[in-house]
Amino acid sequence: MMAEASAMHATERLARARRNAIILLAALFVAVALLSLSVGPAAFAPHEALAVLARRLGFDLAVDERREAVLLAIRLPRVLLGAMVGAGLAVAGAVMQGIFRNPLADPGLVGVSSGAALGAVAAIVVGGEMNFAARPTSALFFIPCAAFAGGLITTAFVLRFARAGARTDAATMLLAGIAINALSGSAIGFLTYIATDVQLRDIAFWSLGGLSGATWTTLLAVAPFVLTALLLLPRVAGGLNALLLGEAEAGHLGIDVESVKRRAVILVALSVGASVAFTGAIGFIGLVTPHLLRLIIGPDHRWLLPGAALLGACLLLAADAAARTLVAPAELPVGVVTALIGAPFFLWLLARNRRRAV
Amino acid sequence: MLEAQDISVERGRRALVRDVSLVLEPGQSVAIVGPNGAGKTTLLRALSGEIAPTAGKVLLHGRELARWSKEELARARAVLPQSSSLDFPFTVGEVVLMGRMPHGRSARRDMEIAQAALELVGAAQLADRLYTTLSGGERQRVQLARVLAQIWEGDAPRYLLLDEPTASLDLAHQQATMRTARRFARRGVGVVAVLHDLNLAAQYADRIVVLSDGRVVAAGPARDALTPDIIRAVFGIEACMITHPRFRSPLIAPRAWYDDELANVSTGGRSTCSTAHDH
Repeated sequence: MMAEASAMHATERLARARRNAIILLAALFVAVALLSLSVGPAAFAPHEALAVLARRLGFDLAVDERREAVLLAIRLPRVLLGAMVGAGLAVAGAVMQGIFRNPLADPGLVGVSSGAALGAVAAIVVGGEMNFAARPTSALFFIPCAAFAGGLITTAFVLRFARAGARTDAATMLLAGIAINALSGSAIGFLTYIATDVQLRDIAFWSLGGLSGATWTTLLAVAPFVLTALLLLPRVAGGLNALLLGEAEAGHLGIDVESVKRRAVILVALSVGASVAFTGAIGFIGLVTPHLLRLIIGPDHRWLLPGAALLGACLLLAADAAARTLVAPAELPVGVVTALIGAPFFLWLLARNRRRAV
Repeated sequence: MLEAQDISVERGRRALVRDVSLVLEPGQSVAIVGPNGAGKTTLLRALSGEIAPTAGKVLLHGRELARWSKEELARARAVLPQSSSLDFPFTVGEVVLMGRMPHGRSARRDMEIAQAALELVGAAQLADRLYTTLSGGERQRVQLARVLAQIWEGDAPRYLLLDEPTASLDLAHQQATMRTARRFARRGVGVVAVLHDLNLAAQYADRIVVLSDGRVVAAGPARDALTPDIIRAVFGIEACMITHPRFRSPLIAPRAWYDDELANVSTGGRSTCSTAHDH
């Protein structure tokens, strides 16, 4: 009996370790968010940032009103946007890797990102007179909305294209995603070719990605998409676990495979499309985060998805904080920082996978 | 009772399964045998509800499979696939626990069942290993434990569908797997297995269904369904059925063919069998 009780020990211990890891990640998120609020051209001590927030919540504390304005109007929306986009991208990456049953899959592969990019670039070029850098209100909404629509349309197309009969074939879906990526790339190339100098600069700026444009307005536009996706994704967690066994196996376990996949892909399109639309292309968060997390808490989506949301937010906030301080008083686009850390990580991952296969 | 009534499965213009009828009673074990491409796996997939037959119907407890909810069905029958491609580092315990997904009653009970299922397939010592570090044979046993856990207990009769459960196993584990399936049948579970090894089929199945080109060409106890004539017609080889000298079970002994003997065999092929039988 003793042997019986202890044989599943590691499985039970893992469950405890996961709970602890999630709690730690939540604590880490609070710390990183506070740090991210504090650093930048106008630096705040963490306690000063806390004091401003506390005052907003009704505590009577003395703070410098000009500095309070900087924190509330610029820093806070930026941090909140970064947290949401990071969480959205990371969860989207984890879900995509589950659907494709391939740890190297990424939302960008399905064509959401490139479709969104095409939408944005088309809006910049066709929109003509609207100057993106100057950010009149019309452009602020026009370009991101076009990007979001582009992402959604391409995802819907790939999904439909990959459906043979009543099923969705992951391999066809991936290949269709590659074709869409190439097609979007060539369309973007053409649009870039016919673009004026001013438009070219806007395209370049947009494609590098960044959180610097964050205002309460952009935050309000992104929040519904990302939050809906974040709230709904855990509901497909069990189905995604079963899906890792194989689609037929998941079906035998009573999972409605098609419905799980459909819901997952639409929700991914929502969070990735909206994120890409408002912050440009921020790479590698969706790829790196689930991987780091699997090393710590294993592949169970019931823990992986909330964990990815927290860690993704942490990573993007940290990258953004670095982008703001490395070349201060100027700042780097955050996409440059994430790619700088993410791309070598991806290569290391590939090398490790190859060694394992041998 | 799991029952196929005159089912056909067509893919494009090709009929993979034609007019197959099959009855599986609880507590019974049936082996499906036949050459490659005979439609064995397709038949099993139709029986499991994974694919719908293009003609005929599959009934479980008298109700058509399409009219069962997926979860209900998952509590009534489990399916072991030919091979599983799980590339994510779950522990073995977690993989087996996934078999309990359709139930979701008590975590403690699920844990006990997962543990017992692992013991039954002789893999209890693997419980804490990562699935991705297991050998092919170990994986197969863990998957078997998962599907056993899925239908471990229940009020209504349950069914176990196995697609080549012994494919990547050594001799001892082949026997152990078939014994496990047989034990499950004794507990009132209906077992149907696609098998390549005719002797395993003859040893462990109550009934054997011989499939050729999508049709049932013979069905019944091993002695009736695996006669030399049927084996020659279906597999194109000479074999004879002898009785195991100690265990009294039927044994199918295929004749080894050597190129230099071909001429002899073509004239006297059948007599070799009757000679062996007489001895």
